[in-house]
Amino acid sequence: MATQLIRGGSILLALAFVGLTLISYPSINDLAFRVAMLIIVATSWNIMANAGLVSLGHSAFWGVGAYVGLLTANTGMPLGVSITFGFLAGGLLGILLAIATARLRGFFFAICTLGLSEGLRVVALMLPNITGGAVGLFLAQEARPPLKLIFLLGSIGAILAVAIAIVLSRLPFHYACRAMRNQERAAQMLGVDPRIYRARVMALAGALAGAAGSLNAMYGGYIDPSIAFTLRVTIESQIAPILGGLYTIAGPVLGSGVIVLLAEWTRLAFGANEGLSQLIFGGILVFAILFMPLGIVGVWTKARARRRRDSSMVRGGDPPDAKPRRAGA
Amino acid sequence: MTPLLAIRGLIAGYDDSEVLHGIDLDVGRGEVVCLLGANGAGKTTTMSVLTGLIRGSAASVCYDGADLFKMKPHERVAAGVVLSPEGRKVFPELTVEENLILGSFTPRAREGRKQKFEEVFGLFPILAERRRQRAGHMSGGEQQMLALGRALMAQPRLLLLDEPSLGLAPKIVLNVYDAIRRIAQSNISILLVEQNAQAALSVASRGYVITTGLITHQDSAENLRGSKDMQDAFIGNIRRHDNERREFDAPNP
Amino acid sequence: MSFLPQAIVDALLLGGIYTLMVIGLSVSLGITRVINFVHGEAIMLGAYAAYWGLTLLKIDPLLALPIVALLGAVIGFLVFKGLIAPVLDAPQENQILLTFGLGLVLQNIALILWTGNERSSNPPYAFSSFDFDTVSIPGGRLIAVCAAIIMVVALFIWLKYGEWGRASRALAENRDAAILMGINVPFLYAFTFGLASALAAATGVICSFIFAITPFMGFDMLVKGFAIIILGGLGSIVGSVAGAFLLAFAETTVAYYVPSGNGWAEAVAFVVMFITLIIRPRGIVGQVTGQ
Repeated sequence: MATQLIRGGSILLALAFVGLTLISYPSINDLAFRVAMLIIVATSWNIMANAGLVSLGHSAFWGVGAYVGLLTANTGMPLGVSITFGFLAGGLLGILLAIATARLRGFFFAICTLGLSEGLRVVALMLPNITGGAVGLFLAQEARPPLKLIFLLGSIGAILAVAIAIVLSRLPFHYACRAMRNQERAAQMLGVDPRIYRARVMALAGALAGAAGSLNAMYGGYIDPSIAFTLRVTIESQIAPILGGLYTIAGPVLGSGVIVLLAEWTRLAFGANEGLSQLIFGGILVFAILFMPLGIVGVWTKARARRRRDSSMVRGGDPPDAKPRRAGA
Repeated sequence: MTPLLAIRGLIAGYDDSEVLHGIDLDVGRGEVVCLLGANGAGKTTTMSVLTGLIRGSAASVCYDGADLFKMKPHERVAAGVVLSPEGRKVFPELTVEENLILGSFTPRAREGRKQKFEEVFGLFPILAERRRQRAGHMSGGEQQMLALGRALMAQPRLLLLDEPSLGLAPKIVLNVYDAIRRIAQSNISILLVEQNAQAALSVASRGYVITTGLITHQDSAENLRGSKDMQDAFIGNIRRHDNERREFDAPNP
Repeated sequence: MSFLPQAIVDALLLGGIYTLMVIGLSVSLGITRVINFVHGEAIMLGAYAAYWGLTLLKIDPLLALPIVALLGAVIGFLVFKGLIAPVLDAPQENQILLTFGLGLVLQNIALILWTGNERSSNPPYAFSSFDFDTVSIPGGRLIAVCAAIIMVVALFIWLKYGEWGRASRALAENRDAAILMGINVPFLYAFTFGLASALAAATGVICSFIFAITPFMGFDMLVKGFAIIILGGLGSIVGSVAGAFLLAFAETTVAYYVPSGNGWAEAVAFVVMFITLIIRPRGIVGQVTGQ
């Protein structure tokens, strides 16, 4: 019964979300769009994290999507094509990264993603003929799509991303990823070929982030290397899922909403101080890891399990604790 | 005289499984006591809980009149509870000498370091020969001597030995137990944990048998040596350790 | 080709600076095994401390160095005890994200307090240089190299002969065995982290008169630091030093001999890191760390 409620409620929420983009209230449209973009990259980050791949460089996909999308649009292609190219570019980058990091896990993988995004930023800086270098790239006037269309695509994109995550969680693919997260070698013994699954995961995650990046570039109309490969995307795409609930589907969505609203609130309350919102985000990250590693959803799940356990006769077990007790010999 | 170590109702385990379900054990001053059991019975768990490597709970764990569980792991070593662990656990990249120096890390042990070196080298001349060698390059038997020597450097009052014969050739086991016998003569209390019952009983005065987390037998070493129950309990062990036992064999009916 | 002597001098000096940058990180990574993304911020804070020391209190950075280093040690110790110790046994991802978040917090505190404007402390020797026929040696960088040499040598001596230094090496090899030696391991972990922070703070002080001081300088250094450690091999201080010089030479070569090399030199670290991870993840002096 509860799940049906949740399902129904989610659909209503999704429809309301789309509605937000259609009403003529620019500041709300903008907020909704930013939430939508974050939902996409947060879901994308979460998909990778679910397979044990912590990405510290998600802005790599975002930035590549931004450049490819913008450049495509400037050649006169319609919006749909530009976004698709951004999608494909992100996916391709994901596959390349998967190949390059085939044998790497944990810290080594994470630092590679960081190197990737920083390295791409330098590359973008050093190839002005293609990317406009430090001067940056403008979206040609003729190529500017109507705002309403961008917003609509944004919210639909977010819904699609979540839908993809839901579908993934039903497929055997999901369990393969979970197995990989816990023990890649053990997963191999179950017949899961880590390399193929990694490539698929990273291609998908990269593609989603790339698409979001290109759509966002259409919205902003201007990018340069530090805007395209901004650390902000990397940071927010991590914090949203962690705050909301790592490895869950609702987590990235919840977290995205909180993050964007929090950023907006700090802007209104304390002035356009980029530093303050980042500071708060960092604090949230630290707090979440120390006290609620399973995020808001995790806290809610634990509370629900405790209530259920208290009211039942059977002695239930506690959800697995975040901290393992050290074994002796 | 009160025992040096008195354990009542010790419970311990890992993450989600309890291994020790409440054991009682005493080690008298200057006594050599052995704890025998098959794989997985809980011998190493007992050692780990006593040294503080894992957590446990008990009705009481009394060491020299004090509550052992109130002491942090490093405080226990300073108080004289020293373990020579299962598998030796020497520091492979450090030299024999450095391993021994580390054994005497606690302030009290640091003072007597020079003397202890002579003692340990007297007991294990091979260590003196190899003093500048990397510990990881030594054979199993030599590493066992190093582990024992390292434990001695800490000036133990209660020496805990976890399976000193594990993985060693029968002749080496003889050498190791010779050394243990000599250590016992210097009035250090020893709690010895072993699968190799015959070896352990050749040096202990009393023994406990632990089976799946509970003490099932308890007797003097002499009685245990000849007891039919014990032999039954260890029927698996006897078959497995047949080769090693040849050296220690009591006439078998 | 007439650039060669100067290029070599530049590379050597840069290698010294990189060694400084990386030595603390190598210590904390090698001994505590904690993935530490906060190290860069410790450098940054050290730099700011030196700057404000000079600007407000007229204290020469080199004189302030021991004090700043000590402060760094104490703060690092406390931060470890309070925030990082809880995730010692948690999955790596938690450590990465926690220290990453902490770094973010510090970066932005600095940004809010002191703005993003570039600064540098300017003691007189920062502008000096020793000029010869074909080479010119900037005074500031020379001091950096000397400081690096002193710190590395002191560290080696302490590790080899000091009681706690030896204990640190033991801890790096086998934590359980270290506990059995009566070493207060929780304390040693925090102590090591404090030591690493002190080294980082000292690095910051020296960097304050070589590089521009911004709230983000730490992050760039951290990424390079990781690249160097990967190149040299995790857990090996010798490897880190080797990696530092190798990277310095690679970057200098690119800067001198590749068109627009100065810009491309920034990407060298990442390329090196990728290549190392693909070909030989253990690094040059690769030790298989017991992960």
